[in-house]
Amino acid sequence: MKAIMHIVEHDLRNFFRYKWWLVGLISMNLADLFIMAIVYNYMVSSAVIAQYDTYFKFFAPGLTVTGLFASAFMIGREINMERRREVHHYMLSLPMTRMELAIGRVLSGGIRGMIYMSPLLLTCFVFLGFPTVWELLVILIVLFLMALGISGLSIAIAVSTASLEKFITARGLVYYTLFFCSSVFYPLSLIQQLGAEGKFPAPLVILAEVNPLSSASDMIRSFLLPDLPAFSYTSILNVVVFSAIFILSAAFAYIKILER
Amino acid sequence: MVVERDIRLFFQYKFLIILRAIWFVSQIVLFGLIASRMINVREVPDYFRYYVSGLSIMTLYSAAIFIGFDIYEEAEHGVFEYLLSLPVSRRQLVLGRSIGGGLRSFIYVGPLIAASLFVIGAVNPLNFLVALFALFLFSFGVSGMSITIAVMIKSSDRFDILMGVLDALIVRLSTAMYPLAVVQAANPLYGGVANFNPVSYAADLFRWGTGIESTYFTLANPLLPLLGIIAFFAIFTFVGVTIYDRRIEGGGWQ
Amino acid sequence: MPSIIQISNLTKKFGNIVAVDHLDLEVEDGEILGLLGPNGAGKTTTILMLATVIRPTEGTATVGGFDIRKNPEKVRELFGIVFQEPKMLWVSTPWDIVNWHAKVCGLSTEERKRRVKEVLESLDMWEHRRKNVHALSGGMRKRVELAKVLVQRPKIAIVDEPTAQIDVVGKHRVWNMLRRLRDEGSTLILATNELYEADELSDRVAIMHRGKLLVCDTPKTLKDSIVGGDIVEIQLENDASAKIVEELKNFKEVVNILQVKPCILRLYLNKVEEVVPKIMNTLVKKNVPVTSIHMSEPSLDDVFAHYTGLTIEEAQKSGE
Repeated sequence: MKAIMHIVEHDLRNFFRYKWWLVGLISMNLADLFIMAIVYNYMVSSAVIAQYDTYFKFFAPGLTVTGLFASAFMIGREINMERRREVHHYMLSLPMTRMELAIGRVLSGGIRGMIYMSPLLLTCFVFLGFPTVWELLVILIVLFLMALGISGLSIAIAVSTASLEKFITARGLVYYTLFFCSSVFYPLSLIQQLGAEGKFPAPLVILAEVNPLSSASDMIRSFLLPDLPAFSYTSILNVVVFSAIFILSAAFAYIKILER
Repeated sequence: MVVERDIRLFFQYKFLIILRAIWFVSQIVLFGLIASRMINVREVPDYFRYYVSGLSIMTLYSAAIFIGFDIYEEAEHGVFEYLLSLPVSRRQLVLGRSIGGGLRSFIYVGPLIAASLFVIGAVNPLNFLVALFALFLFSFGVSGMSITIAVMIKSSDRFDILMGVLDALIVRLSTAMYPLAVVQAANPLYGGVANFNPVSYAADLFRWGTGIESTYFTLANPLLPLLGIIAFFAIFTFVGVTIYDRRIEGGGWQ
Repeated sequence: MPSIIQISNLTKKFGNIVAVDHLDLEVEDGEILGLLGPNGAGKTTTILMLATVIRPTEGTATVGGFDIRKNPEKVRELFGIVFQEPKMLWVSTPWDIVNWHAKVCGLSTEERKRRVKEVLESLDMWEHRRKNVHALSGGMRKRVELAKVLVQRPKIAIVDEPTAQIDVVGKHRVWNMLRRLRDEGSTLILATNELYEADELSDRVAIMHRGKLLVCDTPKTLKDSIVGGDIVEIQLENDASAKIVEELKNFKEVVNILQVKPCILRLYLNKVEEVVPKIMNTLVKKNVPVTSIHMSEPSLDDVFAHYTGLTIEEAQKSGE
């Protein structure tokens, strides 16, 4: 346990070294919310967005989730850099088990995601309304689980790709597919409708439905916005399965690939 | 020669080019397609085509910015000294880099623009040539801006942040993603910025050149955005050259 | 002295390349073992396997009684490594790097603070402790890397090229620190391709070439073991022909001749005082002008040349 905490401390310290970079990133996210979403309010069809009141209110939870995704993914970039500079030899030589090292890294990626996301989540609460204590707890647990899964996914990609370019390309592919095939930018019903009309590939419709980003965004929306259908807790299962798969992948990849 | 070198360098980032292509395609086939379904047809009759044309300009902008990152790489690896030692005047060097940066981004975005033209399905040859010329100037201007900022800011991290923030503001506060009337309705301040924004000029001219602008608005006088782009190009290429010149002569890039 | 490390049949293959080839070696408790060899000899790979960073393809080793395959966690508790290339992210600071390392190695807060300050001061890094790594010179980074192990004081310290990029004055200081570490009870494995460093610091030297162990003994025994204990280096005005090399080999006192450069011959011989005049006469008779002549004691380079037929420098080039 102590070893895991040391790894978390190491990664958090590195995270805050990029504080200006984080400020820049948050301001970009806020520009998305306070410029793009506000302008979209004026051109989005009211039929599509009516139940959410405005596009701004619809988009804010989605943006929070994408912010969490991007920041939890940062750990992968660092691990990839460590691999290229062979810093991983040092990490592997430390007096701790491989499992402790892997868990520490996944955990720190998740915590970093939560830290980064908190001002975005707070903005969400300020503009959409505050949740109850129980709802807040559920939101934090689900988002943390998701952050762990994202962190695991990024670590698995980072150790399997030798160069930064390949890592960035793979990351881009994951980002765009998961962001755009989700209910982050548009309601899930819209994607399903396009799928039913044969204008959107069926596998991508399924991806949007099981995408943890969709589950997390819709969960926050249903807690914060009135008059939305009650949130189905079974959709949390998507997040749990996603996290379990990628935490295990990260541990496996970290231990097997780096030690080769 | 400087131009040729910069273009060759750019194609070494093959994965980055693939990444941008993935980004472009996924924006069109995923975001563009779905988002166009939720836009009110009274505001924007065919948002998909509007968005695809704007996306070409956004991609051109981000590709032209890339030259600034090369400057940091060169400063870090000592290539800068080598470039300064070449028998080329400082002005030629800077102008060459700015044109090289613009040209390579244009070459790279070329196929993507062709793809978007195919999607848009409208070509008006004469107007399009004028628009193409404007886009050339736009990309040289953006490269010049990127070089100027890169030389003025010593840390690559800070440059990365600033360019990110600038990208967020300059692109979002433009007509690349939404018509000016909508931006103005949303917030007059946003509308004011969008009205004096090179990205808006480039996007409007591109739509005018492709003939799809009349679907959303009628560009009263294409000369105004054209003049705007020429001014943007002039400021960041020629005034930027002077700043660059002073900085490198004084060793300010070190 | 009992062995703290026993390596048996240790092998590492990367695809078709055999980096370490069936290595057998013992390291005694409390000694400094110099692992000498050119780049690509397999020193770093051996070290990484011992430290359980990479897995052996074949064979194993026991460290402090623990098998590196079966008890890697226990093995890691005994080691501290100074890597050849400093292993640190460039956004970190020296103080953070060394302090965190000490924390992970289990030092108490008070002890840690004291030792970190002491070591950074002794390495002239205290003033630079808050700078980012990217702002440090190569030598400074290497000193930070070294500081980690000096603070840790591990049971077994592995130091890979400890003085690379460090200036001459700094080198002697580092050597003294490593000796002190040994005197305080650590066993040291010193991987180096610097002959003088290996000779100066090591209690025993293991010479590696192309993944294999050639020989292992004290520097003195190794040097004494060369038949033809005297060395004469003759620099000729022109390149030496094969004929003249053959001619010199005919002297019964000459044990071996190494053509270091086309115009430089290194002769390993006995009875130097008697044979050198004879050699000079032969060269004059054959009309082979001599530029200079130099007599010396054998060095570890000669030991390496004795076993491989190449100087370390040549082996380095052929390895590259």
